[in-house]
Amino acid sequence: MIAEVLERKGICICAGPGGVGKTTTSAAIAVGMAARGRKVAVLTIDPARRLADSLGLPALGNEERRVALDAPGELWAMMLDPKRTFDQLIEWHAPDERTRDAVLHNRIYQELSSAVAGSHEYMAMEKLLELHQEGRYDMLVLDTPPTRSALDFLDAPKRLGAFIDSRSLRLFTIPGRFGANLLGRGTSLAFSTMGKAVGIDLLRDLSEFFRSFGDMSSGFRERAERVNQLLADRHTAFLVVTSPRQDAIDEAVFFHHRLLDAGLPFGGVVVNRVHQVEDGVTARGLDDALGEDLAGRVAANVEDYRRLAERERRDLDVLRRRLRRRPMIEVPELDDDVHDIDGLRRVGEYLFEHAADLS
Amino acid sequence: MISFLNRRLVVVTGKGGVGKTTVAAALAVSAASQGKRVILCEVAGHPRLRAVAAGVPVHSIDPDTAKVEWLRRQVRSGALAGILGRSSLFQLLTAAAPGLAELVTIGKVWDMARVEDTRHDLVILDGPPTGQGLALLTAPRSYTRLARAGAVHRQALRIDGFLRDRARTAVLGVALPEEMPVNETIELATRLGDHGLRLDAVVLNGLHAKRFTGDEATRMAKLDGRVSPGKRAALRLAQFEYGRARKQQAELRRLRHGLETSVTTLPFLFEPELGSAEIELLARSLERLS
Repeated sequence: MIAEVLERKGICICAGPGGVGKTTTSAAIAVGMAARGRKVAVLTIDPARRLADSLGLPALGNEERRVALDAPGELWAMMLDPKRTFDQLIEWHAPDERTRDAVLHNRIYQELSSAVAGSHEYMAMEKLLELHQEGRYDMLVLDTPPTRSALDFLDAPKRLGAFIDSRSLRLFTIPGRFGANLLGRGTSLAFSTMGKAVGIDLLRDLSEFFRSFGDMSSGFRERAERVNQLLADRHTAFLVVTSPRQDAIDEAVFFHHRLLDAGLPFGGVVVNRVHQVEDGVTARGLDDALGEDLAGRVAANVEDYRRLAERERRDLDVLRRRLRRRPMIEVPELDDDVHDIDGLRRVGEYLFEHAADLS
Repeated sequence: MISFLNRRLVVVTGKGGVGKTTVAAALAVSAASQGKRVILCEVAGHPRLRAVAAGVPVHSIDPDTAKVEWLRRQVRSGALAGILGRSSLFQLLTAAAPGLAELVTIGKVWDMARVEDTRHDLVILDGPPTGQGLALLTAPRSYTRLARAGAVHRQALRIDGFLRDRARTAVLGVALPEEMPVNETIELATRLGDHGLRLDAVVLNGLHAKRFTGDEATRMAKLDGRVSPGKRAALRLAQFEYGRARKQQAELRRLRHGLETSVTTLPFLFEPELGSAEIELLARSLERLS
């Protein structure tokens, strides 16, 4: 089913709250699309390196690696290194070596590139753009970073974009000495007050950073615009990955609205780890074979899972109604953890072969 | 060891989706039942916290408001702070200054948890996920290095001292008995240690009871081909549950092995919608937390 959602798409972005299996879903989609003859690259930020393990790769780096796969297409995988990606961008955009080194060694930059909220998300999209422009793949699958909530992922580029916007930067790139009286009185007052609030030496470091960074900001802004265009392109599809937990469902609904409001192409929802209890399941008549005590526990277990499945069913019905007629694909809770290509194929069976529920 | 509930601040953190909010609420209910004046804090507009807090007051920290408050304290002029707080320069600055947003957020929490604040005995922070939670706890120390002198430096030092004082602050990790959350919790303990902080205890949430023994699972497997499809499905569900409980026990052992701190378990509740009865059940389980 997901094949229909992704038909004629070149980019698939899997987003969703933490702990719902985004990485596994992304990898299973990539395996499935390669099985359908596409040349696919999956990009992930998977600190546990579980994706590398499940793809049978010793390690993943900031460059793509071919995954051995018996399929008509090709599968490539890479693990995003946001800091390295940011450094590369600085190297490209810096007008000269001095500026490059000034930025790379600035402690504000070092904090920004490795820790500031939004930089990882932004770099993930930056890498996506880079691979897209190189045009070596039919399909790119992006496993988004584990943000606090899926919404952070959408807001991140805007935050970082505003940050590197040259018009704001100009405020900092004061000619001559910092805080000199070249500034209007208002700005100067603002600076001295801010100095009190955040520390004057920090303000000086920021000023230095922005002065070096200022030369590159137009290049950055241009790329940020291209990233935005790519995300909104009709060949891109956002998949919202979630689980049947109440809070995860709420977030999926919000995120889907945000995508639509932002004019971004929403492809559908994947719900992982759904508990299913088959129709007609009964523990009745097992007393003779198992004894009353064990049969009783088997029956209680059936009842517990039935209750859980019913509750999830009700919550997912709400989700389905909210999605109107957008596809919603359910992947059941599987017996085993997914830790190899076969496991990814099993997940893929549900993603690709089960008809999506459009009721 | 000082009881969790006798401190001033408990910071709850863990991987996304492991039940931090539930654990924070249950802990608050447990504290309130012991006569503590407790307040729950959260930092991201979590509507669910209020729903499960069972009457314990909830304070939401909005980072932007916290920034303006911080600014006001530093410049000692409400009007000036208001104007500056709304200026794009300030927005840019606070986005650019590494760790400032985290510093003002934890600063706000600290402010409420201080002994000087006589309105509450205990603040429980329903914290952000592991990475951001760590950033929150380490922000004051990092900031003392970025702003090397002045009022901000001194205040960051005071907050840092409070967070490091084990008589006042406790860090509580929440995990699920699954591979990734267990890895992340062990890593959190290591990283806290790198920063001179400490994971004081861990709550392992959602542990399935050992309902079946290995022998029983074998007996059920042998019956598989000899019963009706409905019964077979029931047997498979029981074996699934057996397998899950077993894997969870392995994760629990791995967690205990990887940590020096105590691990308290909370049972998995098949009713995923938590009502006050469930929260109270969990609160009672948390009383074992020393």
